[in-house]
Amino acid sequence: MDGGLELDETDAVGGVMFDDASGDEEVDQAPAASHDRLLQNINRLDSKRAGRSIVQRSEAAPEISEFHMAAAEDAGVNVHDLLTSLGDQARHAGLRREVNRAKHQRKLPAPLEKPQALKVQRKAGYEKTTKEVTRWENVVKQRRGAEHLSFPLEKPDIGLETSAERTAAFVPQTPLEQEIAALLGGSTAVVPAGQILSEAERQALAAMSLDEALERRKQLAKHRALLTYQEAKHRRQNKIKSRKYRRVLKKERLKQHLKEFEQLKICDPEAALAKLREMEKQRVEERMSQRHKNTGKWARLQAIKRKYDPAAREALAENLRIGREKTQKTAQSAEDGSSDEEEEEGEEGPVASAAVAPTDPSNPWMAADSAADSVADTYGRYDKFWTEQEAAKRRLREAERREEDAQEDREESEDEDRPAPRVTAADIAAEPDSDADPEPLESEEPPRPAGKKGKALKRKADAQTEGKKKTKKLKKGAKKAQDIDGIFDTYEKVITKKTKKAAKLSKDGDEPSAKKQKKQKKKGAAKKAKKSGSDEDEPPSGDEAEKMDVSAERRATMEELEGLVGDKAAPQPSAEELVAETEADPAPGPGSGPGAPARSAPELDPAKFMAVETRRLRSLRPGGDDAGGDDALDDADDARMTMAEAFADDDVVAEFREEKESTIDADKPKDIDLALPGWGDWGGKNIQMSAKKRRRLLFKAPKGPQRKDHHLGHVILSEKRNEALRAHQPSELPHYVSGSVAAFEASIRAPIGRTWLPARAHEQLTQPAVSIRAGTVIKPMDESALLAGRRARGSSGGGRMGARRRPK
Amino acid sequence: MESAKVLTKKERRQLRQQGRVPHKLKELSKATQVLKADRKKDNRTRQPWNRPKNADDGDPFPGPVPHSHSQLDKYDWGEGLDVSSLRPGPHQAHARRRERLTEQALHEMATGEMLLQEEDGFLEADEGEDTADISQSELRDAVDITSATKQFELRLRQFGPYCANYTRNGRQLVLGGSLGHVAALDWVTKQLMCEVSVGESVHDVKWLHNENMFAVAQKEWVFVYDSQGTELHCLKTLHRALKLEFLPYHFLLTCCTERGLLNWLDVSTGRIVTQTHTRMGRLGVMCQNPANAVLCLGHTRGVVSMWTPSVPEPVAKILCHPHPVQAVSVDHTGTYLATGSVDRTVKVWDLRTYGCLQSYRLGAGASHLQWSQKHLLAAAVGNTVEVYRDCITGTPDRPYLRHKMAGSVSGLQFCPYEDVLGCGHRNGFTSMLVPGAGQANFDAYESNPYQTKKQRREAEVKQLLEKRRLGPPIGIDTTGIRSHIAISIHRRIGVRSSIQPELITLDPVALGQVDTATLQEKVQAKEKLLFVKTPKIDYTPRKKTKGRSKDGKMAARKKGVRGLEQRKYIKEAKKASKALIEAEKGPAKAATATKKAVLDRFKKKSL
Repeated sequence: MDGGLELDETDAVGGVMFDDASGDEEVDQAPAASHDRLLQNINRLDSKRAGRSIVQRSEAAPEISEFHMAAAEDAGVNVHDLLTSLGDQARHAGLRREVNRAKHQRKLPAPLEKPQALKVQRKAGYEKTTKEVTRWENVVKQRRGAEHLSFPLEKPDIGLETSAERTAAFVPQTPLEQEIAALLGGSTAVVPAGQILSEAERQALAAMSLDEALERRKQLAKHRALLTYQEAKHRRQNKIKSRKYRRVLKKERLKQHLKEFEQLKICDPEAALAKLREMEKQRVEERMSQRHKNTGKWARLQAIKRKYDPAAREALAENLRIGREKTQKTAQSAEDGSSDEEEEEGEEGPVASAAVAPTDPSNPWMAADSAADSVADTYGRYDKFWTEQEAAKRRLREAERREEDAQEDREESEDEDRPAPRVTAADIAAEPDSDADPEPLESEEPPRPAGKKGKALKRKADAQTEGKKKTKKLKKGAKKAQDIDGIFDTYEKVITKKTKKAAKLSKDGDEPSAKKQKKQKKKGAAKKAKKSGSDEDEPPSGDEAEKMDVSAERRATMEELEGLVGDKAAPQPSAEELVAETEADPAPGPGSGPGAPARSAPELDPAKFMAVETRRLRSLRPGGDDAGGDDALDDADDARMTMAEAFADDDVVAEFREEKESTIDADKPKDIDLALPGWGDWGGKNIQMSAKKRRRLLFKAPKGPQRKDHHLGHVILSEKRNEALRAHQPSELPHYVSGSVAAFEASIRAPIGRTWLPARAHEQLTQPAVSIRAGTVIKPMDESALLAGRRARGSSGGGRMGARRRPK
Repeated sequence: MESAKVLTKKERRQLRQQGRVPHKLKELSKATQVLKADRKKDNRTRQPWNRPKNADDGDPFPGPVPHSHSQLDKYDWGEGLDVSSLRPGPHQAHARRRERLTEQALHEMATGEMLLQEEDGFLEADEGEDTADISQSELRDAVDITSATKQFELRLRQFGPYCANYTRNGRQLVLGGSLGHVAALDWVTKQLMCEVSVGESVHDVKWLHNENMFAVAQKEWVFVYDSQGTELHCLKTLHRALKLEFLPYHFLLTCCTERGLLNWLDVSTGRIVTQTHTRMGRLGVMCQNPANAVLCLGHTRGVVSMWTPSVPEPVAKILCHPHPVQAVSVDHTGTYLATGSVDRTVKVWDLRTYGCLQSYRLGAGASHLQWSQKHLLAAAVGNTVEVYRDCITGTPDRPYLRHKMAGSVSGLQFCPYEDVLGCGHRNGFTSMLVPGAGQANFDAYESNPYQTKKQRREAEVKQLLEKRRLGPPIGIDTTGIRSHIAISIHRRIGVRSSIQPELITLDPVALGQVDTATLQEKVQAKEKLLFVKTPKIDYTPRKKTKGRSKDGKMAARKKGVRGLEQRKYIKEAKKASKALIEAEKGPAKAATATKKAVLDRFKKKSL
């Protein structure tokens, strides 16, 4: 568009110029040319036409050829056009169909460019190879982790042959063998493989008289008929949907079970026990399959629906009822047991029932009433109605049950064969102090101090596990016993007793230890008093008194320890305790109080450490008299002592302290002073460098780690490194300890040499990773190794990898 | 102090890092209560009786032998490796196996105790009696005839006072009279091996690695004699020695001299290993710590100093008394040090904590102290020898045994593996019976009192091989799992004390510890970084043609390249030091530098 307009403008200008410059003769030609241009411009303006150039054949040619023709706009020949040109549509319908089909056929994709194709190929190849190599991963892991590999790995198979395997290949050869084989093969009494009856047996069955056969046939027919009747009956019964019927049925079944159980109890106690277990398992399974009372999705849905839908109401009520029934059962049985016991063995008391009483506040499932209450709360007014109803029902049921129980009890009491006491002699034997007075449970114990709580808890847990173990043991004893009815009760009782006992024990154990400690403290105090009394002649200073306290206490602990250990190695452990003490209290000197700060300035006072209470021994004087004991002599001794002290070099201590100070200073990392007087500043005499600059140029050395002797005033330990030793020390860590020096040091802590270990341990610890049997060919691994690995893993239960065991 | 407090592993490690527990304690505290408490926890896994019993093999005591904690503690090598902390993989599997085998080995060793049949015992007095009152003659009359022969006295009035030394197996005895009388004898059979008069003063005598050779510190030099009394060597480098010690695992003869020198001489090569000037005056009191081969010297300033050949200063210095130290002795476990001073006190120190355990006052200053293998302490007071029992933990108020010699005591040593104490004195030598002094069971591989000639020879070869086997572990590749073994061997060969002299350290297990660079070194490295010099650049220009390789041109080119390189280097060094300085200054300053003021926006951008 723009081009056209511009053109017009220029043309217009040009036109004007022409007008100005040329004469009149030229004006005649001008309209024709400008008209043509105008037409052209108008043509251009048409956008549709603008893209297309209309080509016209302008010259004639002697022969018409495709080469002479100008190319048409859309040169492609449409098949459809060709078809239309054929005319007569009916005749060419087949052709048309074919063309249509060809049109809809999928084209093959164009082949990829070469680099892309190669890339795809490489990727596929990589994936395939990865898969192949990964198969070997386990084998390699296994081999790397193996304790020991002895090549060649393939060992000859030396398994034992089974008798069947051996006899399978047996061919009778000697005449005797052949004869025996013929006998065995010909005998009709031999049961052929895969059959139940031998030939002889089958014949015996077949050989019956006509009457017998008829009778037998009749019998069989009757039996079959009965079977079909029974089957039909069962089928019918199975189809009954009544809940009430089912309930009754279940109850009947239960009764049946109980009856069987009662019978079994007398004739086969083991089976009875199994039965009991089965029943219990059934109950548990039922209980497990029960929906949650009112929290499940279904129950919530029902709760929403119940306002309008009586069926939902009913279903909910039913659900709750079942739940309560299930939970009440245990309580009921427990109650039964206890009541029975009360009836039969008054002195035992209601022990077992306490643990599983229906009003156990800790168990929400046991709180039938409270559960009902909560339900009532949630369900509002309507539920009040049905709870009442339910309560009435429940009362009814309970009455029923009580009646039943009473009946049962009556039956039981009538049964005279049954041994009377529930707790058998075996139980009593297993529990020697079962007649101990009943103690309150752990929950009623007075609270322990906080520190001991954890221990006590642990102990409790231990006691419980112990109790469990005991029950296991007891089980065997109980099996022998005739009474099985009270097994569970007995167990419960035993467990509660055990736990109580354990609790009591632990309590006792705590108490005496506390007492002991107190005693010890008293002892220590007494000792202290004694000590101070005995040392009256030389009254100790405040420091010394403190020190003596410490030593007295230490001695007390030593005594305690000796009392504990009480073997020949007494000096060793007590010294170790000392170490432990010092470990606990880093400054073992008597001067260091318990409240000393954790990291303090290095200790420099040697006198503190040297002052340990000196004990006078009854040693001989050079003159030959006994030194200790005699007071008169002691005085003289002290006098001599003072003489010695007069000559004592007091500077010794101060000197040592100075030495230590200077050593500490020398070992400290030095600050770096980069200050150069006069550098970047005025120089000369009396010119001070500015403090700021000095500070700026002084690099403080970081504080070093604490000295090894920082808490020991009387010791100087050299901090100098042993350079000669360093050459021998490991300075790198293996990668698998992941940078932990402690782990690495721990890993090489133990000796492996023959000098320090028994021969076998030495051999095991220094066993080479790989051993090769000389003179054997070691083939490279092949696919069979993969299978071997799998087999090994399968046999070891998939647990430990590796560890190919050597045959013993 | 609450001794019952149980520290966790972590806490203890922290303590150790803070230096609150001496480093040495780490290994030596293996048998402490702390560990016991730990062990009680993992009772279940540890005790073999917890393993399932095989009921049908008919063994009434199935499974391995159960061991008590105290038994296991004796052989324990410290806390185990937490295998789960390792990276999973084959190494973890190997480590797990090794841990299992180590635990097994521990049990095997404890089981081996069954073979130690000999028992020890002590003298017990009747009521109202005192063991100290029992005289040697009474003892001799009471004991069996073999033991009775072990109590004897050699009256040698001419050349005393005498010093004495037993061989490591306790079979032979060498005596040195200070006036020049030297005699070696098999003291059990009383057979004299040799007797010579050296013709000058004798200060000390010591057996070397076996009974074939002994060293005598004479007036000027140290001489080595063989068992026949033939002079083998005159060691003139050991000048005016006062005391001798022999470190059997290292084959080192050590002596301290009048002039304050401490010498270590390798007797297998005859070379001086180290000669240290202690600058602590006359060194007349010396003993060795048998557990780590460190030498302990007693000084007149009340200090006991400990020395190793590889460190030119004392590795430890303990101020023990305010008076001169007269006697020092370290027990065979290297745990207890006994020091005696002129102030009549004897102190017992725990070398793990450097704490004083006991302090006793005797009738006079103890001139000699000696520990027995069962931790009896013998003290020589004038002409009397007193032996104390239970003096580490217990508090005796009277000696266990006491014996008066014919003259003032000048040498004291318990005979190894025997209940015998040998005392050299002014007028000869006395061998006295001290019931319960010696270890009842001996390890024949270690030192065998009944060694035959052949065994002796073999032992000598083995000893030498063990000493010579190891060079510096340059080839040890710590990255491989098997290097464990190499390092372990390396370390364990010298568990008592390291075999090579440079491996003698205060902490005997230092060899197994990883060498982490000290802070000092790190600081030094940094310091160096601040003052780096440009390295010399050696550059020879390529030869070019057409007059471009004239000398001047060559020099110019050389200079150009050198300058370029130097500038590059200096630039980098500056950058590094700047970074270092900034790091030293801390991040706080850097933060203030970047903080912008409100009016900073009007500043010129180029600035």
